[in-house]
Amino acid sequence: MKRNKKNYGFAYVRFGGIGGFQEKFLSALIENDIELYDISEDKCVISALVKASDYFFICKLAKKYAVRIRVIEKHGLYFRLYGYRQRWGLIIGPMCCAVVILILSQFVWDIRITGNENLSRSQLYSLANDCGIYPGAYVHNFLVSECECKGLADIKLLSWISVEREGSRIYIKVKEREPLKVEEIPAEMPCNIVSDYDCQLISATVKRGVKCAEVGDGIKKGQLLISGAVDNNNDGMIYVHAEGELVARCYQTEEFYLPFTQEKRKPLSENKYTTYFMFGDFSVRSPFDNVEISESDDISYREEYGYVNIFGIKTPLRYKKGIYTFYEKEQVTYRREDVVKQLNQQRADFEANFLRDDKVVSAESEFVSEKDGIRLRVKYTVDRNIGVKQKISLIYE
Amino acid sequence: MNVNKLALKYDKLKNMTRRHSFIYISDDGCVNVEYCHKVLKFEKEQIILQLAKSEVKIIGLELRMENYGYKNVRIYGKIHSIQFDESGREDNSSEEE
Repeated sequence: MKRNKKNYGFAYVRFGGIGGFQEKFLSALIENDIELYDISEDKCVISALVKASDYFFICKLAKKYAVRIRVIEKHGLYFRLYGYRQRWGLIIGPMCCAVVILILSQFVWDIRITGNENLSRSQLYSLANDCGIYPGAYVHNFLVSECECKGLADIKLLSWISVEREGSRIYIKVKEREPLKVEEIPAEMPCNIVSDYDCQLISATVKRGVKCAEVGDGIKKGQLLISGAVDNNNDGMIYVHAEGELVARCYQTEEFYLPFTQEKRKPLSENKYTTYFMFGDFSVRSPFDNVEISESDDISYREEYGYVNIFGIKTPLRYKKGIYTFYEKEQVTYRREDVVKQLNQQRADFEANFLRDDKVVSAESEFVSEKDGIRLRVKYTVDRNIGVKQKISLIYE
Repeated sequence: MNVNKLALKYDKLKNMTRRHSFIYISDDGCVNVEYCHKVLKFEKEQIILQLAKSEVKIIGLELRMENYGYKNVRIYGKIHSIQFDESGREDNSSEEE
């Protein structure tokens, strides 16, 4: 098979040989298994194409057989590039390009979100941001699995989330769950209104249905207050969607207890610090910091950012200071006044959370001193809406 | 030692002990000669090769040559004829006697 002259590979030279014992020279080349291509003869000059690496060996053989050889042509990529050997820019340029690509590939540059319908993109961007995923973030500074777990925990509407990294691009794929519907009885479906508490009815306004309890009556939990079954005089019973407002006075007692001796978490006066030098989002830890933390340590960690100052001049170089605060647990014995104060705080928290929608008529509080602590007993009198709707199930026999 | 290298050495040894050369002529005007002992003459119009038992003269125009493998050469160009030198050829009749 003839070698295509245009495809010379890496480095080939064409040499010409004059005089001497040319045939013996050729025989010796063949004998030594030198690859020769396109051997030709013209006017007592033989020429052939050989690999550049074999040329020096050929020179030795030529000398032996008294053939004067010289290079006629040079072919191949090596000789093509050799002419540009002084142009450092051609070498440095691609190298810089490769380095820049390598560095830039270590950061996130694009976040793509798919699959969201009710969730806004900004909500998902914010989630990613909380997990350290944002354009410019160093790819080894976050865990995609962590982001997935946080997404499922924080966003109730998510039923599935996948965070994938492909190069410098982050793909966030989500699937939303059907929005939770409050189980309300539709307006066309017949229902009753029953009591949700043990209480005394103080006002009743019936919009639809038949009132089954009078103001002032004592009511048991689950008792029928407004019936959806209405007598239609001649036509028998009809069933309607009962509606109305039923306010009742309820009495409930709550207890709060705190001991005098409590375990308290106290920060130690000495903090430990680590310093990181920031290059964009990439941080390099200072080799001089040596903070040792064992698993049993009770610590909290926070970070402070700032710019490096050299002789009072602010430089664009940023640093990050990690502050470890160590805690110790100690037994603290409080005075009676302090415990009462804490109990009052607990009571206020309870009222803010559980009696938010009700009207507190009165609250009688009583502090009972016990051997190890104080118990707060509060008797509440509250007015609240007690009616809850209940479906009417019709059974035909 | 690499098995491939061993195979090459064995191939070389086998070639050195060969008593016959082979000439393959293809219809694209190319002559492949296996086990060419020597190049006796190399010119534009004729090439004379020393083979294992005889000399072969290849006559043509603008003849060119290249080698492949150990002692294998390929000759191409406008080949007119191939002649064998009688001196090296075996006399089959004498063997029969």
